Amino acid sequence: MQLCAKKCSIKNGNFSVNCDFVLKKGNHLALFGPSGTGKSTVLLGLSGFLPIREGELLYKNKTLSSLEPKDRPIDILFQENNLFPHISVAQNVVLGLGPSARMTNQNKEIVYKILKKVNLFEEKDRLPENISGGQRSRVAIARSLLRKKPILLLDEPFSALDFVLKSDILKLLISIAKKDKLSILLVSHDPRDIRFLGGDILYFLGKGKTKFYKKDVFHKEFSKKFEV
Amino acid sequence: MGVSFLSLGSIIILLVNSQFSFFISHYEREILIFTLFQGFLSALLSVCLAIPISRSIFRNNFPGKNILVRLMNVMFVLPVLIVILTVIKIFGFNGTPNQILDFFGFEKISIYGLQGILIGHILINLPFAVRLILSGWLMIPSEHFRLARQLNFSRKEYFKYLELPMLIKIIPSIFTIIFLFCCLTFSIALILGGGPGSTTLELAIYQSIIFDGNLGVAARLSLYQLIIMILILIISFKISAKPVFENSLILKAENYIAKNRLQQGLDFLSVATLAIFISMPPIIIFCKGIPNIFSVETFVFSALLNSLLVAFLAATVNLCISVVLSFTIVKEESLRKLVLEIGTFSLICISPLVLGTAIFLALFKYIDISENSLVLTGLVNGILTIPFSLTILLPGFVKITKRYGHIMRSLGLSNFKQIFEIYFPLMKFPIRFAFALVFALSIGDLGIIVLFSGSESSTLPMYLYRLMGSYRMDEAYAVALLLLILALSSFWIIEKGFYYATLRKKMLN
Repeated sequence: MQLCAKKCSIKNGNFSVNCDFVLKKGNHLALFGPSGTGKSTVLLGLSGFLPIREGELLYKNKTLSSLEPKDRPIDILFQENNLFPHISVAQNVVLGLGPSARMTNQNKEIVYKILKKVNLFEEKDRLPENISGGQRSRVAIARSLLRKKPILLLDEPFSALDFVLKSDILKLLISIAKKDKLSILLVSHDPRDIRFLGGDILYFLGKGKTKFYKKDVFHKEFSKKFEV
Repeated sequence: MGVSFLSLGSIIILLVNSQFSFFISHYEREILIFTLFQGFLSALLSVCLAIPISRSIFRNNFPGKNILVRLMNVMFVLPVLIVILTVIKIFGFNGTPNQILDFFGFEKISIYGLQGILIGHILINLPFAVRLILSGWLMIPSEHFRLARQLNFSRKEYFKYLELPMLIKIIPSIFTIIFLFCCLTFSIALILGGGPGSTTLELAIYQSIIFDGNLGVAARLSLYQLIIMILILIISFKISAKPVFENSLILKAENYIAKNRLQQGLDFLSVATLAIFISMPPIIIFCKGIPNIFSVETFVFSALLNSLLVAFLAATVNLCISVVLSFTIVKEESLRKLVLEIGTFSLICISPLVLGTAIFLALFKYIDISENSLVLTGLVNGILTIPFSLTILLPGFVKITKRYGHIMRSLGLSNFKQIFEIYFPLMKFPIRFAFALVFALSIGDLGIIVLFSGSESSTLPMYLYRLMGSYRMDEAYAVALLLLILALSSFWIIEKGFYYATLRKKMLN
C-alpha cells in the first residue's frame, strides 16, 4: 500500500468533500465526475493546500496530514499557471531541482536531459508565452519529474488541449510513470481519460460524496452510461 | 483626433497671442528642474511607501480590511484643498510636531516649501498608489503561490519569482501617473509652495498669466512641460503594463510565506500608518467644520449649486467623448491605435491653466467669459479627466470587441447601433462608475475657474480658496466640510451602483 485516504473530509470554504480510497505504488487513480463536485478540492487536500478536517491521509502507513506541501511525497500540476511567465522554459524546469537551483553546468545537463525526454529541448530558451499550450504542459511535467516525487496529481492541466494532443501527453506521462514507478491521480470529467489512464476510479456523486470503484467494477457498471 | 491635439492647439493659441521666444531664462530653468525634482521625489516616496503597505494589506486578514480598501477609493476623489487644510492644521506652526519641537527648545519648522509640497503630494497619492499596487498583488495567480509553497521557496525566491516581476510590470506606470500629477497640480504648490525657491511650472504659468499678463512665458513653459511629460508618458507606455483601476477589488489573502513576529509587527505598523493617513483629513475637517457650520454665509449654497452644475457638465462631456474615443481606439489597427491612445492619454500632460487661457483667448471676443465661466470650467474638467475614464472604459471595450466584434461585423451593425445596443448595455456599470468618478473629481477640483470666475459664479472649491486666502479659517473648515460631504456622497453613489451591479450579477448566475 502506498497512499491511503481513510474517511477523509476536506473543506474548501463552506463546501466539504469526503473520500476514501487506497492507491498502490505505480497504480493510477482517476477522479471522475461532473464539474463542481469537488475533484479539485480533493487534490488540494491531498497536496496540503487545504486542511484535512476529519479522517487520515497516510503514505506508507505514516500520516501526511500535518506535513507542508513541500514535504509531502506528492507533486501537483494545476489547471493553469503552472509556469512562471517571466523566466525561460529551462529556468522553470531547473526549479524542480530546488528553489535556489541555478543553471550550473551540472544542472544544465540534468535539465536538458529531461527536456529531451518530453521533446522540448529546442524550446529551452523560450518564454512560456512563446510556446503552445501542449508544450507548456510538458514543461510543467518535466519540472515535476525532476522533483522525483512518487505521486503526481494532475488537476486537469491538459483540459485546454484537444483530445489528440491530450492523449499524446498522457501517453508520454504514463510511459514515464511506468518506467519510474510513479502513481498518477488525474482529475477529469471526460470519460475517455479514464480509459487512457487505465486505473481505479474515485467517482464524485455530488453534494460532497464520492465512491471508490475498482476499474473492472466501474467499467461493468458504467460502460453504457459513459461509453468507457 | 481633435482631443489629442487640444494640448498643442492651446499652446499655439497662446503663441499667436504673445511675443514668443524658445529661449528659457535661468529662473525658468530652475523652475523646470524644481518641478521635475519635486515630482520625482513625491512619486518615489509615495511608491516606496505604498509597496510594503499594499503587501501588508494583501497578505493579512484583519477586521476592517474591506473598509480600508473602500476608504482608499474615497481618497482618490478627496478634494485637494481638504488635504491642504489638513497638512496646514497638522504640520503648520501650531501643529503637534512643531509644538513638540518647541517644547524641547528646538526651532519650529515651516510647512511652506518643498517639505509642504511633498507631504501634500504623499497624502494624496499614497492611498492611490497602495490601491493600484494592491491590484497588482491580486493579479498574481493563486497557482503561483501554491507552486511556491510546493517548491519550498524561501523569502528571497518568493520575491524573485512572484513579487518582483509583478512590481517591474506595474510600478513604472504608477510612478509615471503620480509623477505627472505632482508636476501638474498647482493648488498644492500655490498654497504650500511658498516663495520663488519652490515654484513649480504650473504655478509659474499661473503667475505669468494672472500677475504678469505675459502669455509668451506661459506658452514657452507649457510647451517645455508638454514635451517632457509626453516623452515620459511614451517611455512609460513602452516599458510598463497599464494599471487597471476597477471600482472593486476581490480581496483574498493567499497562503503566504510564514511570518515571524518582527514581520507581523511591521505589517501591523504599515496598515496602521495607512489607516491614520486615510482617516486624518476627514476627521480633522469634520472636527473643525462642525462647530463652525452655522458661520457660513448663504452664498455657499449658490457655490454648491454651481459646483453640482460644473460636475454634471464635466461628467456628461467626459462620458460622451470617452465612449466615442474607446469605440474608435478598439476599432483601429495597431499603429494608429497606439498613436490614438498616446494622443488621448497625453491629455494628462496638458496644463489646465494653458487650456483655460487658450479658451479665454479664443472666445473672449465672442462671449462673456466671466458669465460663462461655469460652463467653460465644466468643459475643461470634462476633457482633462478623459484619461481617467478611458482607463476604466477601455479594458471593457477591448474585451467586448474581442468577443463580439466579428459577430457585429457579420451582422452588419452600424457604429451607432453597436455603441447603443451592444457596448452601452454591456458596459453599463463601468460607464456609471466613470461618470461618477469624473463627477466627484470635478466637484473637488479648483480648476481653471481661478482664471476667470467673477464673484457671482464661484464654485465650492473656489469659495474655499478665497476664504483660505483671506485667513477666514473657521469658515473655511465649515465650507471644506460641505465640500467633503458633497464629494463623498457623489462617490457613495458609485459604491451603491456597484453594489446593485454585483447583486444583479449574482441573481443572473
